[in-house]
Amino acid sequence: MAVDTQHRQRALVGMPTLPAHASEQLRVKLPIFLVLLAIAVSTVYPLLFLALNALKDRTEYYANAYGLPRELYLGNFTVLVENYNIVRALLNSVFVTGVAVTATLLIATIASFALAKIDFLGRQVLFALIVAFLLVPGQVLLIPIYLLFSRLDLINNYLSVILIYTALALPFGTFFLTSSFRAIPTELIEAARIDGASLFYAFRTVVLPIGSPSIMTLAVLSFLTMWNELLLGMMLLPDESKRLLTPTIALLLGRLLTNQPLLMAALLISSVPTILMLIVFSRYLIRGITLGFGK
Amino acid sequence: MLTARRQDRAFAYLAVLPACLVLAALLVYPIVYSVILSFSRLHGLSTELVGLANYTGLLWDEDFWRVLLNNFIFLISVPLILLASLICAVLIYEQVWGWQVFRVIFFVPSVISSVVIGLLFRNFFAFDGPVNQLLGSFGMPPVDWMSTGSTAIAVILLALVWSSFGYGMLILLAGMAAIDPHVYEAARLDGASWGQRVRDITLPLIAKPMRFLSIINVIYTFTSLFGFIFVMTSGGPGYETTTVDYFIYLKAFVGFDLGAGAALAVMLFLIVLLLTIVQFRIFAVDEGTQ
Repeated sequence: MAVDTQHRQRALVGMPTLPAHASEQLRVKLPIFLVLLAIAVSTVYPLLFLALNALKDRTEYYANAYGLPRELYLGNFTVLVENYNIVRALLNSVFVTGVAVTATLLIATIASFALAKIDFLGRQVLFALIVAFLLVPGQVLLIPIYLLFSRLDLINNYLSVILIYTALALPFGTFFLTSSFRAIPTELIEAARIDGASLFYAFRTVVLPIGSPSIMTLAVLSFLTMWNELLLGMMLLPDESKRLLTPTIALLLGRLLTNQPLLMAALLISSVPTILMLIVFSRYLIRGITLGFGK
Repeated sequence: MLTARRQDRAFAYLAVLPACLVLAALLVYPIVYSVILSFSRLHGLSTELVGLANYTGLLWDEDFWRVLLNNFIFLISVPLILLASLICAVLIYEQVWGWQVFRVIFFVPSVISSVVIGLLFRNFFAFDGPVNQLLGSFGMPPVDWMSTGSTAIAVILLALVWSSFGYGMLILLAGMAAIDPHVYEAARLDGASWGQRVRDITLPLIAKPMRFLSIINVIYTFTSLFGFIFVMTSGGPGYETTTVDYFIYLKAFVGFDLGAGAALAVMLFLIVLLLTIVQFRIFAVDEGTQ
């Protein structure tokens, strides 16, 4: 991780030894800490407000919106499960993003290996084309994709969303993995093939294990994008039994505006998986996002 | 790079084939189709070529200009996001107690869906919501934030900045990690204050990631506001908060004018391309004078 390297470099310089620093340390670092704390509070507070009010009923919300819930009220979640099919939407999203992330990883990993390590005709042109797709906004695709899938009778079929999510994730995924596979020493791949083993064997035994942190990073980044996507999911899976979680929550809005705690509970269900992802995989995420700017 | 034998090349083509097929079928074909649609009118299942009619129709449409203007107003978010990201990055860089935790916390809004953030901010700025109650406790009258164009835009801008500064901070931190710490040490020994070090060393040396952030956020402003607009204002009042990406959705799936929607999409792509090129030009001039 880039910032860790920097940490090590600074430790080598032996920064905090001079006594002149010590006074500056406290004079400068305490205010910095306090400002950071203030920003952190303004970042966390809206989410805390969300979580606490999801555990209140409507009457309590209007009487006491800012305090802790008097008791743990789970009624909002029961209503969402019983009347709004939220479990179904959650499972739909888990299924669609799970399959689409897996497909993205499979297709992007093997293609990136070839693009990064094998000399074949058209390699550079293909890589340039894939990078160019990064600039195409998803809106350009919305109408033709909708018409295409209507003709193929794929509206309300999970396959439609899985296909388009995979296609939209591939340009970045291939670009990202190709860049990181380039760093794998070619000698290691040659060594794996010393007995005439196939390239696929070398891919499996050398590239996959060494590249696994990057592949993991790509998995988390793609999951987040797909889980949070609204427009394509909403248009391609309009049927209530097929609807994904983010569109479900966006469409609930009209019915729930008068019941804020119920809406808060729905928002909480949608954001908890992504926040958990961030906490568990923060190392991978931070590394992946900063790739190319650190040294 | 491997010295490739013939069967290696065969393997390489096989390896890139699935990616090529998916991209050709689901990106290249729709892009071409979109351009054709933008010159057509649809009657049920048949299409009729109508030349530039969809484009001229848009250019004569007052709503289109209003919507385009909105997107340019939302560009205010770019300097705001850059400033917020810069402040956080510079402070985190000092590695005060708990900096790693702060870094993760600041990134939390970036992993949450624009739908959730939009609804959250809509709740905060609702007529009977927390912000008005806070104003009330200071004896100020409540503001109907979401029903007036200008205040609704301000709330959307705030939601945008809140959702984006964590990502910007990470990019800038990565740029700052590449700066040689000896430079700071030398400046410190010469008696430069913390503020001077930030202004004279950090800022000039992170120009490159700052440019990248600026380009990314301009693109984001034109292509990724749909979720916010859909849940916060539905583009209203009137078209006062409608952005181009939301307008495409309205034209194509509410007004069922797919040709106009496709023409808008193509124009959006051209606008994004143009703004990216303009920024590259400005930044190139920048570099020349440094």
